[in-house]
Amino acid sequence: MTARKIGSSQIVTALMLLPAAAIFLGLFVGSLAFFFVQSFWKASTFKVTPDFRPGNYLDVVTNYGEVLLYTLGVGVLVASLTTTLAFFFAYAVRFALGRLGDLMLAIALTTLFGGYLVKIYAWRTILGSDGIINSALINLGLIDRPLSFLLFNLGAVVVTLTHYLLPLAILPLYGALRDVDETELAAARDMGASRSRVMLDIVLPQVRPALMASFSVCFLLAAGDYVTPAMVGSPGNAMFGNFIQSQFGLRMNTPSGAAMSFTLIGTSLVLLTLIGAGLRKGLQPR
Amino acid sequence: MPAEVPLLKLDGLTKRYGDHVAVAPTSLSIQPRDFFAILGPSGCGKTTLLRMIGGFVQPSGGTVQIGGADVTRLGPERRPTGMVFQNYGLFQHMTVRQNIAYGLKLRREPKARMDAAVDEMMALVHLDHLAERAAPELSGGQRQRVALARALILKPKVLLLDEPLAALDLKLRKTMHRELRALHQAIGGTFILVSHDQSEVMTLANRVAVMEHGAVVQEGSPRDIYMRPANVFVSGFIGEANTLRGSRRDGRIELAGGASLAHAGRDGAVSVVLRPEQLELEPIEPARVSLEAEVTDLIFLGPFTHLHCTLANGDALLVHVESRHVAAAHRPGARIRLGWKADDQLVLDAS
Repeated sequence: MTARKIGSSQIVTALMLLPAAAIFLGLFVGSLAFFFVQSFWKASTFKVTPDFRPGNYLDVVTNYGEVLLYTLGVGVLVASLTTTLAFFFAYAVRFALGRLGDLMLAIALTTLFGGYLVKIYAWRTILGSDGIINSALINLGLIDRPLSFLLFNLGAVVVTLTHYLLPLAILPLYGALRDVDETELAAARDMGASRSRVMLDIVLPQVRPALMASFSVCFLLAAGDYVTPAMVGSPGNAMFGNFIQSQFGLRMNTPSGAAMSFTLIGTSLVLLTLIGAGLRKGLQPR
Repeated sequence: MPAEVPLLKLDGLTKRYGDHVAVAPTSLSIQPRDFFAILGPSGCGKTTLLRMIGGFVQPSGGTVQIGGADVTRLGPERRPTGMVFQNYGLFQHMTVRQNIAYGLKLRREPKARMDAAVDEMMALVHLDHLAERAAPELSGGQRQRVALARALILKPKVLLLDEPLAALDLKLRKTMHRELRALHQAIGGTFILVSHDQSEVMTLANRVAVMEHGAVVQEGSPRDIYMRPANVFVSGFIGEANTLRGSRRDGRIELAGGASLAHAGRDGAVSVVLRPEQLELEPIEPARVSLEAEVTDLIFLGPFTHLHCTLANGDALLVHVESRHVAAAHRPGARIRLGWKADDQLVLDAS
């Protein structure tokens, strides 16, 4: 009886896993493996021939090295900014705001319902030359001509991405902060810790996995993005994703595009591993 | 005793939340080496009072003085107090050793001195074998010891204990009672314990303040409070007590349960408080006050037997007698006579 029960529950578990596993293995791992193989192929004009050569990767490093560094930099900037803002927001909701906090959280999460493109266009409307900020300043008589430095630059990319990613960063942090026992904070204070020491010694180490989760999500989405830089960024400062897109699209050079994609994935993972290790070391109990 | 300067002095300490008075103006003096207990039912304001002493709750009025210095406006990190919290609040990402050492690290104690102090403290609370154990892996009693050690290692002038044993099972609680007593004697510190458990307070404290509805209603030694409770609430809260209602006219009290006794005082409603062990079966001496009751239940507990009885007016009465005085006739349903010495009874005028 018991044996049959375990057997049938295992079958049920397997059945429940099957659809997701099929989609994951078939569509994600499968196509990723295909492109990984192709990243070593050779592309000549309008033709792709199977091969095994690391040339594509060398090309990426020589031709796109700077763009890659710039893109990783933007990713780190956006992820750091977003994670910091999200942490303070989640901290206030968890420890300071009481009832009001629930409302703030609900509002923050409601912005998840807004589409990604809608947000980008919203920021174009806000920052553009006939946008809300410029019209307001002109109507107030503070400026004569629209400020042009608001849109189509790195600042606009960072603002747009941060706005888009903030609720995604808040969720894991708020979840982790809920598990932090307020008594521990009081105990640390009692033992002589200042508020900032409590934050550093007690709160941050306990939410470190969530900090890393938020940072990683923001970093990967920001560093891999190509729509935001195209829509609100400066045309001269395209990000890595824009070049990948053009390899797959305009140039139809899939081996090169695949090699660029895997370079981005690889460097991103290395960078995140290093940041994770640094965070672990920095927040270790001394 | 009064000649000694109090280590901790509360003067009119008050906490209000809007219209709600959590702690009415409270003044207390606590002497060095006291094991002082604040006893009361949940919601009586005892924890708020303790948290004001520790600096976790800002009082609405009054002052806290420790060793003559006013600390009312100081945060917990700047007060010479140490707190053991009800749910301990151990740092979950640290080991036992790291938890205990944390306060010394904040003080930038040299490593060698710190390690020695931590080792000594762990030995004192019997945790030496668990030094590297992570906090979440500890049992309730072990957590309790870590919390104690962590607070004591900083040598606080006053150790504040907020229902520290409430989460432990009875057997462990009794062990911890003995350990706490021994610890208090060993280090000669001043402890303030908040508890709703009167037996814990009787076991541990040399002085007790009983709180009800945000106010201290009586303060004294456990013996004083047991023998001379200030009111019916205190008598019922400390130990077990029978409260018999009655009224006094022209120097005689008529009890609703059916007895009459001489007692001088103002006419009006009174309560006569009797401890269960002050009642005896079949009183023969004429000097005793006596009344009739019906046995409803009889619980044999080895040396003692507890008799649950009902009086003529339906009031319940609890009697503790030595088992050797209990006869076969004392069974449920039997009508018995109970008596007490007039000296033992405590008569409280209804306020």
